[in-house]
Amino acid sequence: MVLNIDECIEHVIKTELLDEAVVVAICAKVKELLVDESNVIQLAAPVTVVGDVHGQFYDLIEIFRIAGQCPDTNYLFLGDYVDRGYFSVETITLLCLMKIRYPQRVHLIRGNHESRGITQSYGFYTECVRKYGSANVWKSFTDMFDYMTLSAVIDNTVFCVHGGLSPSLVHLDQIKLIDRFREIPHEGPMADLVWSDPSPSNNDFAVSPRGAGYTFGKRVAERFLDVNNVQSILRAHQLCQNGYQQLFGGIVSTVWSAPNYCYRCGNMASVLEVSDTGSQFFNVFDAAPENAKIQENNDHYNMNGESILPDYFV
Amino acid sequence: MDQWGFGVLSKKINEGPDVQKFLKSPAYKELDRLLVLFASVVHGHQCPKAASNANAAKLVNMISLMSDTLDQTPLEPGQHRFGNPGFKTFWNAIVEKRTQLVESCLSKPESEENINELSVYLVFSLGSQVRLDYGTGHELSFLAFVGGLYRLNHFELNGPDILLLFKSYLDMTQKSIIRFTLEPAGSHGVWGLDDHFHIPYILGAAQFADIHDSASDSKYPGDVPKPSSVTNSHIVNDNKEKNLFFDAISFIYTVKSGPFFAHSPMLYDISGLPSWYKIANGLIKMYRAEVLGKFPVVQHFGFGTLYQWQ
Repeated sequence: MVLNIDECIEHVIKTELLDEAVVVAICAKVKELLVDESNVIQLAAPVTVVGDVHGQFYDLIEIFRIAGQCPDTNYLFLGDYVDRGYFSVETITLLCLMKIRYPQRVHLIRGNHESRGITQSYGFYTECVRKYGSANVWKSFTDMFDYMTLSAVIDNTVFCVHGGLSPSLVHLDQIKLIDRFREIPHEGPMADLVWSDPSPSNNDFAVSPRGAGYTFGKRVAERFLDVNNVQSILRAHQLCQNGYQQLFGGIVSTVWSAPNYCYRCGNMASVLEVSDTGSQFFNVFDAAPENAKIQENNDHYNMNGESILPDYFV
Repeated sequence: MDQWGFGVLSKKINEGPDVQKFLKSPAYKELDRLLVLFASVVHGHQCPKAASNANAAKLVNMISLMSDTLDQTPLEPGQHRFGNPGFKTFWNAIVEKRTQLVESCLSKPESEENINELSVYLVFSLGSQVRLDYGTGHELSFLAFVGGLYRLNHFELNGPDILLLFKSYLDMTQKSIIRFTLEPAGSHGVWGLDDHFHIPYILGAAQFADIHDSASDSKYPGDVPKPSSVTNSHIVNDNKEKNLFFDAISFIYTVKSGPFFAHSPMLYDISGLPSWYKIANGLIKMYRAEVLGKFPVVQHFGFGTLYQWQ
């Protein structure tokens, strides 16, 4: 299938769903681009880093308004594109289209929600079936997720990952050896990268209350920076009231990019702008005004006119 | 204090496949039976203002005492990632008082073992002091607590008292969520039924309809609102004190902004159903699958003699 990327983007911006066959072709194309990426991609500043978006499509559009349109601004997304929000399909579709359009200027790394298992529980599967009447696009998207890379390093200085560190990964070269082309496992180094959190209450690694990954303390973070000769760790994965949080004297930062998370948390969001001089600026923003004006267009039925009630109620 | 440091209940659900064993356990059967039983007895009743007898009043007073403790707990000043760690202070205060709190609900002497188990379910029903969040796993712990007291004959079962107990708990929890900005535990975002609660929807729908009989007329006193009125703020306000479904809906309006169909599509779709009978039964089926049947939710449930693993 020949894809007209610009035309597809125009539709998606208007939250018009693309045909199933087009989505399948987009995912296939993105896989071709992702398959060659290293598990640790090397990026050059300037680049703008985006944390969790979780299907908040209008807030993603707001990010481009605030931090610049592609390709004028380079983007690194830290994962968790889908689940929880109302527009995960639109969000991941647009990001895939941008990746195809500007493969060297848009980078997508994998979050713990880019997974078959998690998306079946946290909304993306439900949303795909509601919007498309079948799980076919969910299957295409989740197959594509297996190709997403796991981390990035900006200017040999900032290590970027969705969740955090792993006790099995001391050196960046060890990350490069992971066979990432698979569903996110329940445990092990790949799971840790997408699940772990920093914790001010322990110095070393400790069991995570999430039931996956670890919590890691300041000493672990310092050792990682030292061994790998980088200056800081940038990650997403945790809601922050102010849109970002800096820990351990600034060597670990969390960037969170879903404002008023799930229409309720009242939190701010941010993106981190890393300039070519190495300076870093958290550009903080609030929920996009469009969120309040979303028009209802399904009225309990999907695009095929079928009821979208869960089976429990049928 | 470690989640399992009470040394009273045992953690049995440690990995995904353990859920299948849980679904065959005596504990599961009992929790399911209690939920259906409570949903059966609330039909035809509005939430009352006071307990019907002294034993139920003891329980309501105990929740009100916890609620007072919550009000007196100071927030922790300074910058926090999201939830306020003052919640830990509240949680620890209830841990300290847990035995007295349970004892204050008893209508007759009770074994130390049972009091200890009940007290752990009570503490776990507040939310997680580690993650500063609250979700249906904590709500399940309250079901276990109330169900345990009922099974040990500390209060007599009737619809209005069950409604009052669950409403008192719901009120306290809603206050706690707002005061300490507790995160939704394991939230499905807009694609879940609700960020925190499930049982109030079951009991509220069951107030309007007999869950065992689709043909019977509602015994609910006063007007039964249509399910579709969840988007009508006047009707929600008029019913929130009398009915748990509308109480929970009303809370959504206080914490969420934006269009109802977008922030709560599941409830919006359910509101298109013609009968509360269908809604109540659907919600019970959904509870079995999405709460009792989900590893992330039930992994924290503790087992002992009241709720047995085998």
